[in-house]
Amino acid sequence: MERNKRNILIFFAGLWAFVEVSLGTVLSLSKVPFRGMLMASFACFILISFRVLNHTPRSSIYLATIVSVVKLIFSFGAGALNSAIAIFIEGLIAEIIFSLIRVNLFSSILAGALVVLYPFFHSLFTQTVIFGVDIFKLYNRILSELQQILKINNTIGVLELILFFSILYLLIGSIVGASSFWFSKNVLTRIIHYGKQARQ
Amino acid sequence: MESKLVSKIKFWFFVILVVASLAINNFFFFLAINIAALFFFKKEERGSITYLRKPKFLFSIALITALPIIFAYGNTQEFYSTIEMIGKILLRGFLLLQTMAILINRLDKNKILNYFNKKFPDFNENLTDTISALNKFKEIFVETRKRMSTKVLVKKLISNPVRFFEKFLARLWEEYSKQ
Repeated sequence: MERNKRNILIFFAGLWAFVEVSLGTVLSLSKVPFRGMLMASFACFILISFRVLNHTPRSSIYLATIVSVVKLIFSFGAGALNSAIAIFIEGLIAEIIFSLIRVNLFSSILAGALVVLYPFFHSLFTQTVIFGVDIFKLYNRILSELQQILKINNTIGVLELILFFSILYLLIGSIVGASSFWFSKNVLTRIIHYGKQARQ
Repeated sequence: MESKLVSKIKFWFFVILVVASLAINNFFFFLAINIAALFFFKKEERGSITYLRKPKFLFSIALITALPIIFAYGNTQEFYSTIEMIGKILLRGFLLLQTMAILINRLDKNKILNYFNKKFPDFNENLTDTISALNKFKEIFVETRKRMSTKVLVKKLISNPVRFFEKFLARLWEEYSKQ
């Protein structure tokens, strides 16, 4: 691997791994809502910035593999394995998109939307596997009873909620994708290539 | 000490039972496998699952199971079906979490590393450098936190996020390049 490209790879892998190991662990322990979206937004920024600076085929999946192995080494238990799988799949999503469409604003928005949406479906998938489809029947019962107590006429089911959150995640992901592309093109490129702050 | 073969047979028998129980999806079957799992495997083999010891996880499980029971109370027909559904969900959940604990306990991290080392010749070198970069970033972060309080950092981030990230990433890159 070319020395400069390798330096960029290690920098982004180190940064992503640092945030996953420190902030990721804190957020996971504190059970803050939307923590998956927050971590995926950062992953999205790293994946897009890295691909803008180093457009080599299979580099996104390689970066994600290194970070997931670091996550496995530094964290313990089922949570670590779950996060490592999520990191790997986020890298895979970015790799597929950037292999099909070259890195531009459109592909960054698409990658951002799908990478940020992924943790939401990861959590739904994990819940379905562990507790079975019956868990959604339970959610539905709780929701309809709460709506009856609150005297809300328009009944919202779990499916409508999933649809609403999917759209929300897609929108936020698109914004993160677009801003990551803009930031990496206008600011990061200059920092990495010239080693100084863009506005100096 | 049990032999490797007995341990392997025990493990695969358990995995087959778990798959069968998921296919059957019956309350009594889940109950039987959960009890069997307790006797099948030693405590340390089931120990890597940490969810069951987390109060927040237990609270959320208690909430989503207690609320439907409270709502169904008074309606005999719905009450029994709710109890059965919750029982099935909990037993299935515990069974799969136990299985995950056993699987994770058997996960050999060296095997994963060896696999990637074979796939990518420079993987080990890149991994070692990533870990040293991670430690460097940790040092920078700790040093920054010593110089500035969280309040000041958040204020700077909110007032001009682009400038904040630009300065932060420039510093990280500068320190990283020195290495």
